[in-house]
Amino acid sequence: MNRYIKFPIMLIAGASLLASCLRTPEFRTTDKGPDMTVNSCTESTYMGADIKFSVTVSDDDFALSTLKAKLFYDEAEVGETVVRTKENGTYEGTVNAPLYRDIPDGIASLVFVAQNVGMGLTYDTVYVSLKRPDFQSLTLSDQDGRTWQMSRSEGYRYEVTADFPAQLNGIVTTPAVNSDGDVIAFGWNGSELEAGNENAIPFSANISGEYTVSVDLMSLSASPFNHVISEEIDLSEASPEAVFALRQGAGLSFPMIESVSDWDLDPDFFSVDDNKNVIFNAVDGHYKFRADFGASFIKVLPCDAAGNELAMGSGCDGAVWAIGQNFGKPVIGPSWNTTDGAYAFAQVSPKVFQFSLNVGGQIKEGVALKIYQQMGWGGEFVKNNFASFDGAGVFVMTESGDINIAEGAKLADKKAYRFTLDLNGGADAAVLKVREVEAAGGAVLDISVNGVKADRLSKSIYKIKAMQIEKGASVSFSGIDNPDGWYADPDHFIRSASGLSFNAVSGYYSIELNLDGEYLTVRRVKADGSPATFKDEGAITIMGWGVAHPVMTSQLAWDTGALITLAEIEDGVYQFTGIAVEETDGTTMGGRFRYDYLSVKFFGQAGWGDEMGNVTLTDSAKKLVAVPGNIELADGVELENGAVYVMTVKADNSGFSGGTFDCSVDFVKK
Amino acid sequence: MKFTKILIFSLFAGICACNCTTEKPSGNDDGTGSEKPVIPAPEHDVTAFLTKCDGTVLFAESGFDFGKPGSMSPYQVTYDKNTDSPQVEGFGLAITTATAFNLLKMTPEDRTAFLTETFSRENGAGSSLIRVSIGASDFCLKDNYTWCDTKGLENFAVHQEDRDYLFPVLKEIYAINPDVKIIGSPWSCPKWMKGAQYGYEGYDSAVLERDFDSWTSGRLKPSCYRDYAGYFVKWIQVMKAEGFDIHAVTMQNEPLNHGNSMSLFMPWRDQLAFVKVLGPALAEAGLEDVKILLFDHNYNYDNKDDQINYPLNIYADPEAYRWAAGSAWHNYGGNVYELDNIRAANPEKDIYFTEASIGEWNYSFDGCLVNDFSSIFIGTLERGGKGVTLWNLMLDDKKGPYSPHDGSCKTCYGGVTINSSDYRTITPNTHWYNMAHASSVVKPGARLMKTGGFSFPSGFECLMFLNPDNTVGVIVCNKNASEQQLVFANTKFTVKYTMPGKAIASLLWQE
Repeated sequence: MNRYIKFPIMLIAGASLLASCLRTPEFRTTDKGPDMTVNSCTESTYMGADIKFSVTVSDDDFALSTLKAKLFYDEAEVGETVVRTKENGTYEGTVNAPLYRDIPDGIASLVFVAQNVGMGLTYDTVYVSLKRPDFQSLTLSDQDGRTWQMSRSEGYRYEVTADFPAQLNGIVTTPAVNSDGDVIAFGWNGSELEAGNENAIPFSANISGEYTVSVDLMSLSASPFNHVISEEIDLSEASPEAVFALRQGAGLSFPMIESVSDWDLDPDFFSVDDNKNVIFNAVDGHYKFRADFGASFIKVLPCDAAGNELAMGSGCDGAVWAIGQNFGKPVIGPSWNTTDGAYAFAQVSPKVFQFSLNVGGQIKEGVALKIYQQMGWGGEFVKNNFASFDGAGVFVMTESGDINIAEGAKLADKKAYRFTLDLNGGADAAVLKVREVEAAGGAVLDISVNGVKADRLSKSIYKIKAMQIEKGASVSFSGIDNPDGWYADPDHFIRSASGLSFNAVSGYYSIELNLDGEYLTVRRVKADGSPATFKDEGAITIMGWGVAHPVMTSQLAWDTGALITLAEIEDGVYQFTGIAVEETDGTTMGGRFRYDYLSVKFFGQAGWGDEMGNVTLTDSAKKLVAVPGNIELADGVELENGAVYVMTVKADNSGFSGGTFDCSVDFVKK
Repeated sequence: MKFTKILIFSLFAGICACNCTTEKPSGNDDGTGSEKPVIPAPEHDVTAFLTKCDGTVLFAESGFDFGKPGSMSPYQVTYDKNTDSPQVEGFGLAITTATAFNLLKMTPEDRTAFLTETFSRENGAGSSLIRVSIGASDFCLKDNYTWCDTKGLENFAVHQEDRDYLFPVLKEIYAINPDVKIIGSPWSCPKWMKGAQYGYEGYDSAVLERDFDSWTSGRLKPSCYRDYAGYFVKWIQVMKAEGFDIHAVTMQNEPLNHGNSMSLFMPWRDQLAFVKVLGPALAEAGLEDVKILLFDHNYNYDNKDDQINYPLNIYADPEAYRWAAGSAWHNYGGNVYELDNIRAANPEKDIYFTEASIGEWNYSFDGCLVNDFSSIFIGTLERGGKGVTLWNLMLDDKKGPYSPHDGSCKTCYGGVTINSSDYRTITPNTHWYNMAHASSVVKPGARLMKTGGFSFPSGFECLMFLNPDNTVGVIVCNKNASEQQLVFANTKFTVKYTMPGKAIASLLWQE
C-alpha cells in the first residue's frame, strides 16, 4: 500500500456558521478529526473492478459520523463510497474503479476521509495501481445461460465466431481479477460497454447464423449490431440461372453483378436497406433465380432443391402463380403463357403471398390476372374460393377468378398495385386485397424496335445494344408515343408515307431512344454490341466542333463519349446530313452543322487511334471546306443558315490494317 | 499573436493600434466588466483563444504548458494523427461591394489594421477563404449588373463598381495574405441569356428559349450555355490576371430562389446540363484548377420535392460527375444533417458552406456565438467540409449599403459593424469571432483527426485538426452553462484545459 499523506485538517466553515455554533453550544465543533488507520487496501487491480479496503476509525471526543473513500484519476473524482461509522471500530468497504474509454494504465489516488459529528475531518490517501482489463480470453454468455469463449484478436479486442441467434443479448465477463474470484461483467449502457452494467449487450444480425461477435476493452465498443449475413448469389451473364436455399431476411451478395442494388429488383422478393444491402423478403425455402442482364432484373421462382417450380401445398404453403394478360415483370409479358408469362407470388409470411405491379410498365388497361396453384394450368382460384376480395375500387373479380379493371376505373398513373393473398383460412376461404402503393424503382417501359426489346438505361433513355438490320427493312416501334414525330436522322433512315425504312448497309447497330428528346441515335456496332471499327466492319466515327446530334447545342466536340458513326449507305460510302444552324441553336432537330464554323475529323474506332489520312475533296466540296488538318470551312465561307447540307465520304477498308485511311469527301448544299 | 492583443485592447481598453475605436458586442450592454488585456506572456506550449457568450471575454489569448503524459483523467481525449480526411481550405466572410465601400470609407491606416486583424496569418486571425459575387449581389451599391449586360460576349468587361470598390480591397487583402482563396458566385446570368418567365420550373424548350428580361427568376437559355460558360471563363481570367486566386465557382447563388434582388432559377437538371458545358470550357481555357461547386443553396432544397438530393442527382451523371468538384450549402432552410446524406452518397466530393447571415431576425450575441459555431463550422467540418464562408464581412450600422432593389436584404448584419458616422468604430459580431476562432488554429491544409476517449456531453462539441506544419488545432463549443475539463493526450504530453460554460474556444500547439 502506497501511503501518501495523513493529517488532520481544520474545519473550514463560513463565518456565519461559526458564529452560529458559538451561540448554540449543542452544536459543538472541532478542528480535530477522528483517528484513522488504513489497515489494508487493494494495491493494484483492474479498472472496472472493486478496490477493497479496511479502515479503523475511532474518536474519544466526538461521535463518529462517516468514512468516505474517494477515488481520483488525476484531479477528477471518479468514485466514492460512504460508510456510516456509528461506533469506533474497523470498517470494510469497496469503491469501484471505473473503466473509461481509451485511458491508459496508471496510478489512482484513493482518499479516505473520516469525519466526526463535530465536523472534524481526517484524511489519508493511498495510491492504487490500475490496469485496463487485459486477459487472454473473455466469456460471452447469453440470457439462456449459453457461453462462448472470446479470444483476444489484437490489443484489447476479443472475438468469437459461432452460430448465433439473430438477436443475441449477451454479457461479457473477465476471468477472476483477484483471489476472491471476483470477475468484471460488462453490459451495455446504450452506447458503449460498461463494467457492472446489467443491461445485456444487444448483438444482432438479420438472421441467425454464423457471425463474429467482438468487444474492445480499450474503446469499449462492441459489434455487431444489425449485422447482415449474406448469402452469395453466383449469377453471371454466362450462368444467369441457379437455385439457392434462402432464409427470409438474409442478405444477398452478388459477386458477379456490379451494383445489383441499382437493378430493378422485384420489391416482393427483395428490399434494399440503407447500406444498399439486398435483403430477401420471402419465407425460407429454395428459389430459382433467373437473371436478365439486359433488363437488370431477376425473376424469382419458388422451387424445390432440384429446381422444380413449387405448386401450392396441401397446407396452403408452397407457391401460387399469376397468369394472364397485360401484366408482367419486369415488363408486360406474353398473354396466358405458362412459362415466361407465369409469375410467382412471394410468400412473405406463412400462407400470405404478395405480388406487386407498376402501372404502365408492368400492368395496363385490359389486364386479366388469375391466380393458379401451380406454374401452369390445373388448380386455380375462382371466385368461390375467396372469402373476400377487396379490389381497392379499381379491380373486380369475375366468377372464373379473373381480376380485371372495374368498369370506369383507371389505374393510378406512376403508382403500383400490390395483391396480397392470405390463405390462412384455407384455399376455399382465401382473402385477397389489392392496394395502391408507391411504384418501386420507377416503371420500366416495354419498348421495342422491330420486336427487339430495348433495355432501360435511365428513365428517359432506352437502348438496344445490338440488333441486326437489313438495308431497306421497315423500322417499327412499340411502347413509345407518336414515333412518327421523333427525329430519325435522314442518313440511317428514309421516312415515307408508309413509315421508316433503314437506309444504311445491313449489319449490327445499336439504337438509342431518347424519350425526353424524342430522337433516335444509331451507331454501328459488332454483334456483341461493342463498337464497330473501320478495320473490321468499315465503320467511321466522327468527332469535332461544328457538328452535332441531334441539335447544335449537343456538339460532338472531341468527346469520345458523344461520338457517333457515319451512316454507311453503300459499301464504302458514308453520309452525314444536317441543317446549318447557329452554334447556340438548341431547338432545330437535325441542326447538325454549324453554319459558321467546322472542324471535324473521321476516326476508325470509338475514340482516338486510327484516323483519316489524306483527304481528297470533290470540286463541290472545295467550294465549302478545306483540309488544313481537320476538315474546316474554307476561308471566308459560311454555310447558309437553315439550309440542309450533305457530307458524303468514300473510304475503302479493304486491306486496311490500322493507322490512317484515305478518303474523299463531298460536301454540298442539298 | 500580435493581432489578439490589438483586438483585445481595441475592444475593451479603448486602446486601438489601428487608431480606430471599437465597441462591445451588441446585446451586452449590461455593464459587466471585461477581462483586462492579456499581458504578453512568455512562450507557452499551448495557445488558447476564448470567447464567452456573455461578452466578457472576446477572442482572448492565453498560454499554458504541456502536462505530463499518462493521464488517467476520465476527460481524456485521444487523437489519431493518421488522418486522410479532406483538407480544409479555410474560413472567411464575403467581400461584397457593400463591404468594400465601407472599407474604403475608412482611413487607409484603419483599413489596413482591420484587414490585418482579419486576414494576416502572423498578426491576425488568418482568414484564408472568401466569397465574392460574379457581377452584382443584393449588396451592390446601386444598379444590378453583370460583366456583360449587352448581348454578345464581345461586350464582356469589368463593371466599374467592381473596378472601383472590389478590386482595390481585394488587392489590399492579397497584400496582407497572398494565400487567400476566392469562391465566386453569380446572383444572375446576364439578362440576355435568360429565358422562360417568372417562376417557370418546367423544361419545355420552347419556353426556356423565350426571352425574359428580368433580374430575378427566369432560366438560363440552353442556347446560351456556351456563352455563359465563356462568361465564367472570362471572369476567372480577369480575376486571376488581377492577382486574385479563384479557387472555385458556383454556377448560381441560391439556384432555387426566384426572388432576391437578383436571381436565376436553376434546377438540378439545368445545372446538370450546364456543368457539362462549363467544365469542358474551363478545361479548354486551362482553368482546370478552378473547382465547380454545385447547388449553393439551402439544406432543405427550399422544400421543393423534385430538387431533393440536388447535387447527388448531378453526380449520378458520369460526365457531370467528372466536372463537379463538390457542393456548396447555405443554412436558411433545413438542417446541417443533410450533409450526412450528401457525404454518405459521395464522400469523395468536396463540401463547402458558402453562406449564412446574421440579422435583425435572428441575432443575439450569446445565441449566435455558439449556435452558428456549432451548426455551421463544426457541423460542416465534422462532415468532411473544406471551408466556410459567411455573408458580408463588414456592413454599417444601417445594415448597408444594400441594393436598393426589392428583395435585397435590408436587415442583415455584417461580420463586423462599422459606425457610419465616423467609419472608425467597429463592433465585431459573432460571425467575425466564429471565423477568427476557426481560422486561428485550423490552417489551410488541415485535416480532421479522429478522437477517442471522453464522450462529450450533449451541448458540447470539440474537433481536432492536424495542420500541415504539424501543429494541432482544436475548436471547442460549449453550449452548456457548466464548465468542462478536457485533457488532450498523446504519448509524450497532455494538454489540460478547462472549457468555460457558454463559450467557444480554440487551442493550438506544436506536436
